[in-house]
Amino acid sequence: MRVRVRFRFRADTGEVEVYEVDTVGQGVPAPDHDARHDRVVGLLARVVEENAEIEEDLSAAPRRDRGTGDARRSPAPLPEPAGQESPERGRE
Amino acid sequence: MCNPRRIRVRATRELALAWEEEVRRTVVRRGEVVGEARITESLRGTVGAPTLAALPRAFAGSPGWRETDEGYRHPVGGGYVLYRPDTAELEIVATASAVVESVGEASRAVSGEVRDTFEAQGEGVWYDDEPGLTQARARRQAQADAELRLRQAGERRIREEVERAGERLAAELDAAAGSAADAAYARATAEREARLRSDAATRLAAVGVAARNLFHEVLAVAYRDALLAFARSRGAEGIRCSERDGVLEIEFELDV
Repeated sequence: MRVRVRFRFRADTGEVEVYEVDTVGQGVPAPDHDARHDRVVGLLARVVEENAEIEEDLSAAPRRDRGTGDARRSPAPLPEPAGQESPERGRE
Repeated sequence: MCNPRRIRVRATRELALAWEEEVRRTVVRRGEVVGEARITESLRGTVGAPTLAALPRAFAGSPGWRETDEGYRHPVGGGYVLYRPDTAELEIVATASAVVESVGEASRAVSGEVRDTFEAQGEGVWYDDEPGLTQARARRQAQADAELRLRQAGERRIREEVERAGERLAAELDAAAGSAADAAYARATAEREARLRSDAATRLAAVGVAARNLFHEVLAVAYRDALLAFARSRGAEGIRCSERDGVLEIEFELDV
């Protein structure tokens, strides 16, 4: 199972605009697909944020796990406008 | 008119000159007073541990950040921003400063008497062929000149006595004037500091914006280093990383 990780950070706002983990490739999902996905998303999230809130995007296309800026939240380390977005995932 | 002729008179006088003066000393205390307002935010519990671990190196490589005993510090207009690696705290400080000057004075009345024998010489000029400038007139002139010099000698002696009295009292008066100056300076400083803190507080928001912008640039470096280290340690492929116009983008693929 392979995932693609995308991360985008804007230094002028201090905002993590995109942090998403997509499953790539075709085929029948492994039985432990979700567990493996959860594990890697958790590891990735903690690189950037200690107590990341992970959300899944159920509106994503089949086999595509993604996060968008719509689910943005602000656990920012700073008192003012530093929004950060956590890795989000969706499952088919 | 022929050549002038001179008469010199030497006067000697036993003088007793009483004097009374005030010796005054002034001490000035001057210094810069700073008022501060600050926000301290802990990054621990929010920023991920790998990114926190990458921050010191990111600070060290970022221009304008200076490593101090407290942490990494960068000046901002009207203040500064400081990151403390030991506590993972970001401190944004607005400052306002002013120069305060206070004066303390101390004085003491001193008196004494100069009793001594003074000598002085006076001079007068006369001409044989000048009816107004006679020898008798020159003698009176020389006598008056000698008297004037006697008085001047007495006054000089009094000034010396006053100076000596001032030197004797200098340490004591300086200490008293210094105490008065210290007390005045402490009062002035306390009043001024309160106003400066208020001024700093009103500027804290603006300082905070500039400070955060500076910090976010370093945070971007730390995010980059931490994510790329994570990716490489897990054998990621297709790693792409770009930084343009303040936007950091990273992409990679992992087998999980």
